[in-house]
Amino acid sequence: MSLKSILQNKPCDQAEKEVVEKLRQESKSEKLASTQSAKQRDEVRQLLHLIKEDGYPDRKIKKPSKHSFFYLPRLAFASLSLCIACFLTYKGFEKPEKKQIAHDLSLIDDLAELKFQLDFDFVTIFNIESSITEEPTVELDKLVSPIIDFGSLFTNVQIIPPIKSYFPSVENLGTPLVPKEFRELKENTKEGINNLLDSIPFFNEIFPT
Amino acid sequence: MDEIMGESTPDENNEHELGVVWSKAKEILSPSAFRSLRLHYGEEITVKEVAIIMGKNKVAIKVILHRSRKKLAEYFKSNPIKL
Repeated sequence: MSLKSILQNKPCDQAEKEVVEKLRQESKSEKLASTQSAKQRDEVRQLLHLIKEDGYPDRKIKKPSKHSFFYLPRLAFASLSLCIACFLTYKGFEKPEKKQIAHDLSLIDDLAELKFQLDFDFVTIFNIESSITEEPTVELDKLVSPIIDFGSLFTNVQIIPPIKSYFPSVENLGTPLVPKEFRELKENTKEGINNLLDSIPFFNEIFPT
Repeated sequence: MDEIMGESTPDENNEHELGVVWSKAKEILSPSAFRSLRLHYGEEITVKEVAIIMGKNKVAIKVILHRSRKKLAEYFKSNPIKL
């Protein structure tokens, strides 16, 4: 799977290009043959207009710069999540002695899909075909849950099935902080960091103060 | 607005109007994948707008489109057709 081709929404290979071409050709033919289609397209445009006006009134308000300090914790959390997913992929799951029949191969692509906030436009998709859905070899839950809790302060975190079953303690994650709240958090940084460190098991043993 | 935002998309209910490739897409893809594909490639609606209609984010729509293209390409590799 090519992440670049997904994010650019471009066909990966010649076969996909041909499919897209055929889909477009058929649509053009249909549109020429059908007068109803034009009417329906107008309805879709009207719908989009309504959604933009009613549902997203603030969408055009200027976005905070992605280079602002507010986005750094999200970037850090995204990187950390990437490391965790790599760990899960290559170390966290036991390899089977014999090749087992997968429960549902269609779910494999969805095993590790971490979704981040819309305006961050960041998503990581991991192809973990080589791993299986075995119990993790270490108690990842205890290590990862506080990190996820902390990360949810900065971005929307969604743990999707079937990975969800490995993190039973991660529930009811709060909504991410808005920049104003973040500034307040910054003012109490010291206390916040101490709380975070306290919540990570074994941290003091690994890095004694 | 709810009336417009029903489960079906333009042309989706007009089976007789669909071409060979679109018919096959409807057959082998999930309803939401077909809907995304139809809106993007059939109605030439941008990914951003499809995301708004489908209530998902842009990247999720791109992933759905990627999987749909892949699935169709694999199908037509093993079952070639002539238009």
